[in-house]
Amino acid sequence: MKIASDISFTELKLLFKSNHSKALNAFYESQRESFFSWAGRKFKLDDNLAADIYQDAIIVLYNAVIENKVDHVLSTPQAYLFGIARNMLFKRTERDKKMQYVDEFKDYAFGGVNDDIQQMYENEEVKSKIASALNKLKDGCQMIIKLFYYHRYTTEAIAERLGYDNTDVVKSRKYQCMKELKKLFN
Amino acid sequence: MKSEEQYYDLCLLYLGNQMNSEERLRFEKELKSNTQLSDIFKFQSNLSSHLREESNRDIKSQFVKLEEKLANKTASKSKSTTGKVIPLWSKLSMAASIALLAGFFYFTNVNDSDSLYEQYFTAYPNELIQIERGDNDVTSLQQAFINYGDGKFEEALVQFEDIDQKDLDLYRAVCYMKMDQHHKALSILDSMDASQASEITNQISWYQALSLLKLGNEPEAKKKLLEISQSSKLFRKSSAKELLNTLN
Repeated sequence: MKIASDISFTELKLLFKSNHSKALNAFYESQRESFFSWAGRKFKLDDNLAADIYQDAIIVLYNAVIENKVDHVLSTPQAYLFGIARNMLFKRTERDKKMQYVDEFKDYAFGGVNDDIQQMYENEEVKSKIASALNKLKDGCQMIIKLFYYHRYTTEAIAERLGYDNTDVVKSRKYQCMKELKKLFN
Repeated sequence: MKSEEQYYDLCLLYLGNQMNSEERLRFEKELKSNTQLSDIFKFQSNLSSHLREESNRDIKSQFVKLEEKLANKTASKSKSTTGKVIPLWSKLSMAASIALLAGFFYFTNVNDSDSLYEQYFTAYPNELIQIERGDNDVTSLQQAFINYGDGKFEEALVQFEDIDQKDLDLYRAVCYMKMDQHHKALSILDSMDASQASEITNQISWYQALSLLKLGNEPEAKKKLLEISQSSKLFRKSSAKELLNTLN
């Protein structure tokens, strides 16, 4: 898979939601040259730091795209990516000055209208219980849950990837898997 | 009163920022008064937060590996140009200026069978049994799938071989593929063609195509990919079309 450096958010979202792993690698390669050149020119970054910032910035962008937080953004993914990286660099400098620990991804995440409500319901203990319940599920079920509830794949893309004959089977499977996960969790 | 499934879908729309402001307010109001919805929402919020953290870690390590590969490629290209130590961004500018040459290497390297195989191969997921990790009382089949899931394909294969079950053939073949023994994988997959259930024909053809590709038999691999792309089943249909286009 190859991605043009001037790809739009709409096109990128489609690719992310059908094969995120390949699309992420292709997006990484598509922006890398200009990013390293920009980071070297503007910030005099060494190779390792430039790569680290670049990778984290793409992860933040990826989360924002699949969570539909950039749907009304007029700018290009490239401009957004560089913006995230710039903020990361500034915040890192601040953090280094204050010697503070900052969660790399959460701190730079795009603000979503629902983030505050979601955070109210989040709880580390519940999360770790969910992680252990998820581990007990069959691989197929784990994959459906990950692809549908996190990577937000379309039911067509899941059917293609996991070998289901039609999207109705995927729809009922994902609900069964969720129920099974909830049962293991309780 | 909505069904549980509808509540799951509503939470997903809310968490995915797919509600308009009116729907969002209505949802948030109901969240305060409806304990079933609030329970499902709490579960789903924590699930998606856990999955996000897990996925971020996976993507980061995927990028670290990719960067290593790309940096080595760039370094070996610029090594022949100069012996001086130059920052990567500068090396990249140079690489851009010799785009024609780089383009030539890109197409000759990237499209070879090995890298296509690496790009497309993933082990077929365990669709047969449920595994209770941490359970002391595991059957030999469960142990085989635990090893399979943990990437211990040699051990999984030995255990699969001891169990007389035809529906394990696909997993046996995948183990051989992971061990780079493609002739053995193909002999299992070929025997499945004639005898096995019709619902996994795309799966069989897909792994046959990849093994054939790895062995350098591109014409036969293409035939298998064509079969998948024309099949009424969905498994790997678009990947097969994509791979066919790359090979043609």
